[in-house]
Amino acid sequence: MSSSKHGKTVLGRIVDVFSLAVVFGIGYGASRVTSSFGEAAIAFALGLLLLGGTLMSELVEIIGVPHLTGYLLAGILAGPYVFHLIDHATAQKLEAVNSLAIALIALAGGAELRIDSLRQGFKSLLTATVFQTLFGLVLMAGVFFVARPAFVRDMPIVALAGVSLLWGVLAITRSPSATLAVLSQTRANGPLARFALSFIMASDVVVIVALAVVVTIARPLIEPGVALSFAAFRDLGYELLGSIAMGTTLGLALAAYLKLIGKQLLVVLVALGFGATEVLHYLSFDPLLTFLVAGFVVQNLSRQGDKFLHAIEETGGVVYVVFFAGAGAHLNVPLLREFWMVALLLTGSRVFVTFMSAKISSRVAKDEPAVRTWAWAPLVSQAGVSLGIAQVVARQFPSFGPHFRDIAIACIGINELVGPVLFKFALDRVKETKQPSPSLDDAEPTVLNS
Amino acid sequence: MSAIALLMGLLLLSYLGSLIVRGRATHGLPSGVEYACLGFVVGPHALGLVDRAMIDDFSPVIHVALGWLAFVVGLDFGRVEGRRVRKRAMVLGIACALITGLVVGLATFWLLSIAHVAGIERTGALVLAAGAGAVTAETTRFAVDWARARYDAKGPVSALLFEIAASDDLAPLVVLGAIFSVSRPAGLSVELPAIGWFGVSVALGGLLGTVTALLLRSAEGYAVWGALLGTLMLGVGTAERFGLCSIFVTFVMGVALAAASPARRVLRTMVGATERSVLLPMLLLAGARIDLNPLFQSRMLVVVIAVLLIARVTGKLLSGLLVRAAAAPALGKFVGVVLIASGPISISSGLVLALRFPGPIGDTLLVAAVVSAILGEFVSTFALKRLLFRIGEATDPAAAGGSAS
Repeated sequence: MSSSKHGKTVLGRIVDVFSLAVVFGIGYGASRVTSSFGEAAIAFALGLLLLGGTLMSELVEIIGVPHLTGYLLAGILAGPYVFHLIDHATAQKLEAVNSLAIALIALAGGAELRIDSLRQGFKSLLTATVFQTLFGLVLMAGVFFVARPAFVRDMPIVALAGVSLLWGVLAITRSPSATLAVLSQTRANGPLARFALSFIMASDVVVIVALAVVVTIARPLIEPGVALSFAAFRDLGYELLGSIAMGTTLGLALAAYLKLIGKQLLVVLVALGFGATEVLHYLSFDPLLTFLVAGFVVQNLSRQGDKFLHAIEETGGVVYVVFFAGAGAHLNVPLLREFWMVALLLTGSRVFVTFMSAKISSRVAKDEPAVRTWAWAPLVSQAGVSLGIAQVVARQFPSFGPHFRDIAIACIGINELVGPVLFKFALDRVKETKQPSPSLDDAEPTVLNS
Repeated sequence: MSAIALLMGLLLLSYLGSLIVRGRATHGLPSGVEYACLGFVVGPHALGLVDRAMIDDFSPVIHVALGWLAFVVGLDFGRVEGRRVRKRAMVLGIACALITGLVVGLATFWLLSIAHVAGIERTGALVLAAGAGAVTAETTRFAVDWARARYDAKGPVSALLFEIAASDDLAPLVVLGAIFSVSRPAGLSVELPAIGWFGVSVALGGLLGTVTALLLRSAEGYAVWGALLGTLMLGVGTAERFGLCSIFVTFVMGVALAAASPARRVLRTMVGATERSVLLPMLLLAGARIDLNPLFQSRMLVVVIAVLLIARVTGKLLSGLLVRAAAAPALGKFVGVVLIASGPISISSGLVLALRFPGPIGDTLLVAAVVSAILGEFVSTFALKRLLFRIGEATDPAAAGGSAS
């Protein structure tokens, strides 16, 4: 997630192309010399993705595409479905990085949310949430119902309605990680950036609730013998309240640490990303929500917000590259090829529904022009949360769940590639993006003179 | 203990390591061998809090940590405290390491040729002898730095010793590169002579160092860490896949980066600060990786370790005579005793060999590295302290008294 000043010269681009060729050349050479990925396969994969992702992001920047897309492309190319420089088993092991990345993304997301701007944009946020959630869920369920993919064709109408509702929930999920990655790269600030951040972070909570509600309603529709049960809401309440309470405590502890010690934040963040996430899973709390609240508390209940955000940016920059490039390596290209028609129909419809919902809600909320025109653009991306929901459906409904998941993965793949490009395009158009900061070479004279 | 608990423990050590940097590395033992001992205590052969499977799961972390440490050494090779090492000191450092390594290697090979050890044939004996030479060749700069910082020592002798200790890492790392080039793993589709594989190691390190330098020209903030970590992990991973010595490759990478990057000073400051943070967890894992079973099964290996240590002391005494003759005639005949201190490079070399040659060869070398570091703590640190006070370079008795208490 770097941006460069020097890299924008022709020489810089040539250097990037040369370096990328060297990196992939080494990877290709290694795969030809030995088929065994060996003990250090994970180190090899991490290095390849980190360098390949960073370099690819510099190259795609030429055509105005966000770095995130470059990371994904590097992952797709290096992954098991294209050049096979990284095998399936190693790609699976890379998922260990996800818990750290998600923790950092949520902490940064929470810390970016300031009470003042939330208060200012509350009407807009509330309206957009209501419209995007209700319209998105109902209309996308309708599209799925009409499209009727092959695996649900023999289902009774009632069961099809249940599956369609599940698809509706999937359609209203957004990608906090993609949003933060684009904002982090562009250092954007303005009405659209603020709207995107607050909406997408809030939508995470909305989706958790919506999923519980829809699963409760859909289950009796899909499985006729099953009665309506509200037990899920008890668990949901426990999860939400517990996560908020834990997040508040964690946020206060972090604020105290930042104030009293304030050193070695890298180690603290890594410990949180791995250790705290493990504890949260054990307690059945939602890590994303917990860290989101913790970041929010640090930003709004202490004076350590900026320091905290800077530390997360320093750590997260490297982690995000691996996270997204790893996601690219996971992208099931053959599946996308198999389901491309239905996936295109469903993703196209989703973009249209999101666009229309944004237009209506912006008009109702009397948003600023930037938000009125482009509010839909940041909402297209989908990634980890969506995949998580697809996995939940696959697990809870084994009769059709795996097929549902496969189509979902194909759709998410498209949204993952297209969404960030649209968001960055929108930020560029409303002129909310900023210049990159100084490079290492600029630091050298300072050190030499000191 | 779960993997997460072990990871948290390693992060805690990393945190402590970063605090030691700020405290000018005068806390704890200079070699950090106490962390290796702690690792052994919690490891599978003592308390069993960490089992062997878990250590194996952490082997990618170990490889990367070892690679990082060698990379730091390479980046700062030939320099101490921001200035170049004098040519004479560098030649002396390399010569001392070669003398010691040669004496140890020959002694070990002689012993193995007259006494048979089960599981170690002729090729194994050669690897064990060469590995013993590599593992025991260094004098750790941490010991000299520790004594200088702790007793506020300044003067030509302490400066010379520090420069020698900073220069002698080259020889063991090159020997390791050569060992891995000779002893090839099975399953590679390309066949090259040993010199060819050695050339591949140098070329890989050099290429990655140059690419890193190119990447860093335009990098900013965290992208600098991204480029450093990325090339390092790619180097370690590729070296492991090719069956090359990863720490030799990353050492060359560090040297190449220092040569090619105009931002080398900033990089040295940045990267140097991380050394202890990586070192302490690595030492703990090295300790936990120690397996004494081969030594119990073949008592001859205990004799090998004993001979190896005696040869090391002999080699260092000879090295001391060389130093005395070439640069410091006023020093006593036994100045070589202060060169006996070993530490991270020895233990790293032992660990790399233990990972590559699991069984009697690797385990013996890792044990030898740790025992050598312990011996250095008992003998060399006190000798160094006494020397520095005797020649008047340590002039702060209050600090010395305070620290002694």
